[in-house]
Amino acid sequence: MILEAILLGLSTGTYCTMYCAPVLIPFLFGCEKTGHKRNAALTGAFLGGRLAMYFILGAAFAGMELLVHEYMNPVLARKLSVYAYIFCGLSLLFNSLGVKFPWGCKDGCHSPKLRRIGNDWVTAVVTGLSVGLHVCPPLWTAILRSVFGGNGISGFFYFLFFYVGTLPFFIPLLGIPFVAKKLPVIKRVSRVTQFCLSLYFLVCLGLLPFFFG
Amino acid sequence: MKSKMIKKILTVNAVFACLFGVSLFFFFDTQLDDLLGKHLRVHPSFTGGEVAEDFVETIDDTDSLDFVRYTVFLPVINAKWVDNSEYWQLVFDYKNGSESLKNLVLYIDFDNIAGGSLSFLPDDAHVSFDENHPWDYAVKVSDNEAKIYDSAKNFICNAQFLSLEKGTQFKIRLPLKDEGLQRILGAKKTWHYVLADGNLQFAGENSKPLGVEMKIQNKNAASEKEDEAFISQMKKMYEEAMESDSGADDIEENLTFYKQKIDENPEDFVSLANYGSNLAKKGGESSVIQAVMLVNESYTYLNKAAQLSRGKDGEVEVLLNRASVSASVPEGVFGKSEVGAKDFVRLASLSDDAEFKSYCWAMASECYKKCGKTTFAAIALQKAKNLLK
Amino acid sequence: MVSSLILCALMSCLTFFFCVVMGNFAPTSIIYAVFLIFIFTRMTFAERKRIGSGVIYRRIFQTVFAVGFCIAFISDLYAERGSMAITSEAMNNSELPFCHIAIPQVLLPFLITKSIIFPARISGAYAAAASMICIWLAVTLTVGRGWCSWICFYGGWEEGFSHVAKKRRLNLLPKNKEMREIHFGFFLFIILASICQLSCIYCEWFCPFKLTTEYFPMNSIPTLLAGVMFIGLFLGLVVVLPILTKRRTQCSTLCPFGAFASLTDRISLFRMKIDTDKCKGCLKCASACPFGAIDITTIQEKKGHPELNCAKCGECMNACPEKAISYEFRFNMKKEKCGCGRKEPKTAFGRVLREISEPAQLFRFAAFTFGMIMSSGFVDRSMKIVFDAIKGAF
Repeated sequence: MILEAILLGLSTGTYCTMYCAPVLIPFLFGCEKTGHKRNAALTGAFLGGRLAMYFILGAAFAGMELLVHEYMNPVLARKLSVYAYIFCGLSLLFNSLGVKFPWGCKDGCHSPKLRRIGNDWVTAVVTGLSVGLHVCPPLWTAILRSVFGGNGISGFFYFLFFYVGTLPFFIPLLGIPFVAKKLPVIKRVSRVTQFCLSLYFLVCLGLLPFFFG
Repeated sequence: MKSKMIKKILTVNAVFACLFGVSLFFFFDTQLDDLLGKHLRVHPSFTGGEVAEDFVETIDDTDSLDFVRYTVFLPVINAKWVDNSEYWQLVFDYKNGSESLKNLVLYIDFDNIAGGSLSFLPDDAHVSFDENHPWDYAVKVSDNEAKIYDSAKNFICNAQFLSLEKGTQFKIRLPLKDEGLQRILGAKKTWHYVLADGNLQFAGENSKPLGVEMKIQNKNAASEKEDEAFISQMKKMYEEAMESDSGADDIEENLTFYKQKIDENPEDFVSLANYGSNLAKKGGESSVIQAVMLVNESYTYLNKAAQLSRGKDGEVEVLLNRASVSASVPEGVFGKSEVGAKDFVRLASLSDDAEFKSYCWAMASECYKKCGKTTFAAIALQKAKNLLK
Repeated sequence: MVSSLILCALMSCLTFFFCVVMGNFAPTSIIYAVFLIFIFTRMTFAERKRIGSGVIYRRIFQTVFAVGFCIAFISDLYAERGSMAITSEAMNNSELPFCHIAIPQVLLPFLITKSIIFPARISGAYAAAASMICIWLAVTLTVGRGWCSWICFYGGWEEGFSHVAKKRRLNLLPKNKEMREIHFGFFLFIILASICQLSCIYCEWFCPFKLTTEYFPMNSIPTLLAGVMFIGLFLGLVVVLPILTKRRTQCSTLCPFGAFASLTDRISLFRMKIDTDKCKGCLKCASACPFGAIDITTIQEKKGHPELNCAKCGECMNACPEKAISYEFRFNMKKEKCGCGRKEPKTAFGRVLREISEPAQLFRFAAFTFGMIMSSGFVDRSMKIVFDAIKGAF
């Protein structure tokens, strides 16, 4: 069972790259302080938020009796993704304006009022929670199996091991401080990227599909 | 000293690459494209998904390429740049764009939906459904639109319908917005009744539906190699047969000889064809620039010969010349593979010799494959094999 | 002199084959071939007279290519589909033309999904994915980012517009570094967003050249907004800003292929070299550079070469009064204080060979050959269309 759960987690590679890499890569590269510990801690905060959202989703799906089919309703999955992009985009935008603006401001701060809500730790957790709203097929399968697979405890551990199986894809992120030290210019470049991504997520992937379908 | 030597070698390489390498690259551009193209494919969400199953049936046994093909794809989710992000694609190909396509109805049974219907939508008849596979959804195609109905004959929604390839291909995309239709995402097998003008296609005498395993079709690489080996065998057989009949090998002599005959009689289509064919052979032994000029010139003679010889004695020799040239010249430069294929198909229809017919169908298959018409290629190869059985 | 004649003769042969022979000796193909031979000959001999003076011919060629490509491409679209807007048939049949700007967007997703995230023909057509990728590889290995200044059929628009005004109205030189950061930041955004969506985001939202090629039909609010965006980007970055700044603003701030080519330029044969001994620090090269690849600090810190985003256009060579800038082989970039190590060839033949193997000559030859071959079909067809239109009018 453990092996099955871990293998299922490993099969999420494509989806993890698709949903998490665009958020984490510019965010971590753009950090003012690029120490290994801080980098790992921010990644951990992101992953914690993601795990928390997976549990919330699992409970919500079970409670709303949506776990009737072995596939996720793709229309619902797309709607959840729209919300994910809206919240993720907003959080990254606050982080960009409050802490990581690419030019002209002291300490990257363009809007002092956004410093608190745009704080790196808050951003890491909120984006983790948002990214957790993207439901990929392996995640759906893991939720189904953990809810219907056996008793509550075994289900919980099944899901936990599934989550552990998704973690190897985040290991390369631990090398970010090393690269950032060798290429100092990447900090400003990443901040530009993050700013563009936040607007893209918010407008093109979030608000436009929300209002216009 | 060593570094100077290395720099000299690199400089010489740079000189060659810049002065000649660029143009050489473009000479071999087609081959490089084909080589790389074999390893590339477009993401399935743009092309309709992965193919689950395809069914091909030739319409008759004569020397024609009339066929019908039905391809079932796996459903697609999160598609980009299309009207429906989630859809299930079904494709019909008819070589001749038959009128009966206008009254196409598909009845589909999902293995994960219980119940279903054994009766028809209005206006259909002639067959009966298998009791083990009552249909759950029907797609009715008429007047360039496709409508989806459930087993209670209620209208669900319109499917996206496209008539492509000058009316010989119909692409139907069923949007998966309806929760019932979404069951296709969890289905392991589906059964399809394909009715055109009330007649069941693909089923032969009985009325069994087409069973489709909803997983990616396994293309057999071994069977492709077998096909290639068969075609090579046919070519070898033909070459051996022609060796005993061949005349003079000297191209210049042949050119002079046939030019004389053309001057005497400009409508001598056999001489025109042989002259054209020898010009192309000469091109094959010349530089690239000359080759292009000679092959282009050879077609003026070959095409004139083909036109004059239509329906007359000697047409076989003329078409054989043109078809052989078309099959040997690079497709990317001259684009003559389809001409060659059509010539070989006509040659097959003009001959009674089974081995020669088989050779012609095999060559037609190779030519069709070169110009990307894979269905025709598959059917031509099937005909070639059947003739030798 | 002899070396220039040899190069011109070789280019004439290649032009004859690729333009005239492949164009079936059509009158328009002959006219274009004569034009190309004229351009190359004038460029080669102008460079002999004064280093850098041949750039005007490069500008003319690239602008003509861009206009010719636009006319021919749009007419092909109308012939095939009946409109510039992408039709459902073209989309469903995966028949969209694949341009080089899609290449950086599809590479990483290809590694993830083993497929091309663009609905294009794979091979067998001039805008097929395999064909463009092969051309990109060949260009990268030879001229590198010289693609942008010699071959790109979009960049020619900016090349033309940036030389419309006589005087510069807006000086972007002090902002070179920021513009580079925006360029690479935007590039990274495009790559990550394309991975996120598994589709080409730049093509969907940002490409200004949809106005000269094809675009999604504007039949919904999102596509209308995308339309407003690309038209605005075209007018702003391709027309107005190049006129005001005399720079190629789209190429140096937005184009993801340009940023990508800057990174892959490391494997090309050539690089621009600034001889710091000859350089007097006048900064005329920095002012002349249309890509913002020479900063004030590049000269002050005596780096010896332009920045990463140099497109090897040669404008700096033209501007430099001390002739301190030159093309050089990448494997030969180490500073030579004097010509002491280099022996002068004793024979005329040796001297000719030495001249032919000059990096500048080879670079121009290779870049022009690429441009000539890629432009021949398009410009020939566009000339036919224009002549037919004029005939029709009279």
